[in-house]
Amino acid sequence: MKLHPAWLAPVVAALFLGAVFAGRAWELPTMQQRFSDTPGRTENVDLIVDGLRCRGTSAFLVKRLEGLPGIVTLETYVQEHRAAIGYDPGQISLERIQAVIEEPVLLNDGRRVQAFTVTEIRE
Amino acid sequence: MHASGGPIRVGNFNRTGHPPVEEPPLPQKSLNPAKLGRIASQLLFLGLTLWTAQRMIAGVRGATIEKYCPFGGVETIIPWITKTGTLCSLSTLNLSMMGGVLVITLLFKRAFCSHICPVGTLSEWTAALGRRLHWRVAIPRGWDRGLRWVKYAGLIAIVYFTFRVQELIFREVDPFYVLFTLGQGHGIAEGPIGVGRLSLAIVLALLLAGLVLPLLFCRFLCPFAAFLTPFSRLGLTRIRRDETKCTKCGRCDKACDWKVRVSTVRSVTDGECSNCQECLHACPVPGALTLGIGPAKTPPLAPAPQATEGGQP
Repeated sequence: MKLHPAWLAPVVAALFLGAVFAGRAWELPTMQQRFSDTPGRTENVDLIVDGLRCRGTSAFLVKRLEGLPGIVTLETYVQEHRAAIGYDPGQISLERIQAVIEEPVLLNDGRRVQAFTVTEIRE
Repeated sequence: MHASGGPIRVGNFNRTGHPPVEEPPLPQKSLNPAKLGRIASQLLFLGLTLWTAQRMIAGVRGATIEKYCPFGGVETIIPWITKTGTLCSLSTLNLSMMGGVLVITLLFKRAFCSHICPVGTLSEWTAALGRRLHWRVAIPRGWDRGLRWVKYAGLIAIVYFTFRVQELIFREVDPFYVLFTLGQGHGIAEGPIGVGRLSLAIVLALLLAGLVLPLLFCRFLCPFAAFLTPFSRLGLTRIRRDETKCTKCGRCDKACDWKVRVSTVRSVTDGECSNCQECLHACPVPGALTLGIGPAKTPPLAPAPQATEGGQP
């Protein structure tokens, strides 16, 4: 089957732009929420966390909170420096969550550095 | 002075080794729709890159150039699979773009290189300038083939060490990143004094070396090219040569900056072919070179003696 050469450039450009738009759409918060299941009986809180600025720091924050009993949902929005946390108040308090987030990190040279600071709490 | 009786051979012998043939006149130099479309596509993506880069330099929040690098998807795929998180400054957008480029490559070979990649566009312009200035140096074909393998070593090293360090180690010498941020991007400018300038110098040197050795970076060093080439070999849309029409003038080979051999094959399977169609535009015989989907349908002119009878119905 022959293909007219003039078709190549528009098809290639359209495929690439399609991939870019699909990637952008997937990152929208509404899409992220649709595909993560949130149970009913939880308290939801939004924390604005100074130091939450990229996927790496986000993974670090998630690692800290993931194992804690009482944490039901956990989503981070790095562009807004926001962590949306659903927790069970019977098992864990908001103060405890904040303390875990703000706990200093021990560096290789022995210094302790605070990686995250909760600057705002939106109930 | 020349001896009286000796024949003076004025070479009409071309590099394919075929006997001299009457060369048909060159096609009229005009911008056909295919060429215009490709230039438009290149300019579009170069413009988008420059726009993002200037927004990044101006400090617009969330505007970074790494975000739109499909090679970022290759760098982050192992961290993404194993640790369910992408690397800093990369996201699922890079993975999506990488997927898109893979689809493009399986359909149209390395068309990404000649239609979208802004580094490819700049390299191509450099190569065209080198051709016009007659600065090109011919290196032996075996060397040319051998140097193509360098990029695979680069790809393996980059993917492995990026995974181990969890940081974009290639960024300091990545032409896409360094050129378009003018050596001012983060992770480069923040380094020790001069690192940004050193990066810029290395990348500019690589680009300018393209004046002498066309597409030096793209053909020998680009890790994304290394990633795409195996898939490009399977690419569905290929340049085909009709042996009954071809006069074996060799213009297609000369026109190809990627040093892909067109004049001796019936269907270009070489993974380096970017379907830029420069061979097609250079061909003087209408219909000798075409763009086709799937393997060539025209029968070979002189079948090889070993060819089995009835191999193709």
